[in-house]
Amino acid sequence: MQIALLGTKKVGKSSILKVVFQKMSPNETLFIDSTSRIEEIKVENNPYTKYTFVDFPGSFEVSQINTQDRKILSKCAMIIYVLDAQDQPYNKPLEKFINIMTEVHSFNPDCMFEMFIHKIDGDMFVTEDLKLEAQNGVSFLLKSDIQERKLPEPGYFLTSIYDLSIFEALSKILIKVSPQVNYIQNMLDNLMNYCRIDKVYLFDVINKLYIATDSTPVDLISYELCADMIDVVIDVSCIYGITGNDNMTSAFDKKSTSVIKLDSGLTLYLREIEHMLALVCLVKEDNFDRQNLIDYNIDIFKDGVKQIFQAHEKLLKSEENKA
Amino acid sequence: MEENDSNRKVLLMGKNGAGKTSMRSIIFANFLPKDTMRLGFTIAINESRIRFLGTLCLALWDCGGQDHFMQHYFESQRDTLFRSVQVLIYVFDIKSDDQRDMKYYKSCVEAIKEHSPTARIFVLIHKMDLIPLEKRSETYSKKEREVYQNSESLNVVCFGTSIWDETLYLAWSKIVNYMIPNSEMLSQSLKKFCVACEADEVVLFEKSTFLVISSYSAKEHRDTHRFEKISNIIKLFKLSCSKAAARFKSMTVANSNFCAFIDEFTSSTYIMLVSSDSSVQPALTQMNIGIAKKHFEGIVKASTVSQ
Repeated sequence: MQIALLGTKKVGKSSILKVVFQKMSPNETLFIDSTSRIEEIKVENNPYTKYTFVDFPGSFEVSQINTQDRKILSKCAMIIYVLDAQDQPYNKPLEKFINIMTEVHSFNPDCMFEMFIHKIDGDMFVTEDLKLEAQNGVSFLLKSDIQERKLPEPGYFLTSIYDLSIFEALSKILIKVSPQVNYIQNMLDNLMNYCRIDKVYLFDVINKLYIATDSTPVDLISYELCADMIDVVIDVSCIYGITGNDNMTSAFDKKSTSVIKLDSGLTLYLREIEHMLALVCLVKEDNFDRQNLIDYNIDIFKDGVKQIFQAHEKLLKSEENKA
Repeated sequence: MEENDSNRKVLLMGKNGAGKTSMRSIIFANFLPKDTMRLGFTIAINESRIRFLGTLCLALWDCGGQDHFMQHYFESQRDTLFRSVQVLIYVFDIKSDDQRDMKYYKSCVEAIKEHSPTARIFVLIHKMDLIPLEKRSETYSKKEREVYQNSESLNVVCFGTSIWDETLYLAWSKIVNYMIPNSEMLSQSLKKFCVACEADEVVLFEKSTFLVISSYSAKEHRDTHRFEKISNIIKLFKLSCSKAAARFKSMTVANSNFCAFIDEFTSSTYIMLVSSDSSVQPALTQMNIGIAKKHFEGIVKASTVSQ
């Protein structure tokens, strides 16, 4: 699964990848060098999800596309175009985006396009209204060109590396390129209903993106709370749960579990699903009194997820053999 | 200032910019380390009353470190400032080369010797995160030696600290523990409780600061800094819960090797119980914690009263 990141110079493409996948602190990204060549970041933290992010240099011009670039872009399932929201006016970068979409759509018609309206933080975007204004402005500017050239409508995300918005955006786009996740979402909806759970996420423990969630809307506060819970579980497990010189990946093992009770009546419940995959549920304390029932249902869910991904693997392999 | 048994006068001194106000904001006022960048310099002396363990009262005198304030402290305010002090905490910024720093420290030590000879002096060698890892030990030892040389042979305890890791919690736990008159009683009671629960270790934390009050370990553990790491981890999680307009009540974390319970204990404490014995039933442990609560309420209160 390949996903390309494109955009003008200094918009923050490499910073996004470093913060989300290489645990860099957002402040440190001010010091990284410009990307001069195409760089690939492979993400394979668990047996179920494998994807490669291709970081294009900001100097890439679609008019000067060479065979190697073409090859990479033709294999991409999605292109994320990163726009610096603080660098106005947007005309030039948006023109570049339209040209990229036109060119790539001609040789890779199945490729999806997403726009990250990035750096949506700081004094310029203090209120939600200002943020939405930027998004509306961008979609308005793109509208006529997209309609004229019959291009697919891109998705829009308002992102920043200084909060969880970039994590939420990446989680959502990864779900978009993974059709098998729809089945998991259905299973999560069932789990929610049978166990009276308020919200549930299937998390990648290492980068804290969610692989899947139920069909209720994601609110950043509950997402952040769950991500922080994972931090606590990993940190405490690294202190008490490792024997000898093992590292973090063995601190989170098959029997990893955690229950956190809050005074608001909310309970957070974490269960290991697979290697580096955790199910995090938000349940009301009263509904958590039948923990055995929830555990039983989660075990069934665990099997179901395994089956879905194994079937997907088989499908991919058979498609590869045909090609 | 009343010379009351349960009031403890703590002086927090050091040159301006050393990090005194940042430290106390993190420990006592629920600041995140990154929030401290917003703090301005302290004007004159900021006195805060901190209730600790229910009945203990700390009077923390955060003394602004700008030069003109410092002059006053050693001249016109010498008497009032340095009298009846239980603890002096002096903070050095490890990155500062200012020679006056050591001179001020020496003046503090002399004033304490004169007006509060029974006071204990803690020196925090702060902002250690700004020193590259490979040079840290050497730089710290050098500063520590210099401090001892200027301490007029008084018994001084030094710590290397940073607001960005658990070292801050270790230093302040030790400082606060010194001020609990009967902490021995607490650790003995914790020992009995630990053995009764067949746990590996039991740790008692103060409720709002999450500083370590007391602990008992039945089993040795390779990480000698684990308690302050837990303080740091839980404190950060507490702050993140407040963003969701909630407070954390209790927590269980387990994997195939261990099970840790962190729960509200007495009115002013939290307890952490760690067990690596998989035959110990979690429900039983939680029941034991519940039963012990009432008993410990009295013990904690008693430990804050001098014998």
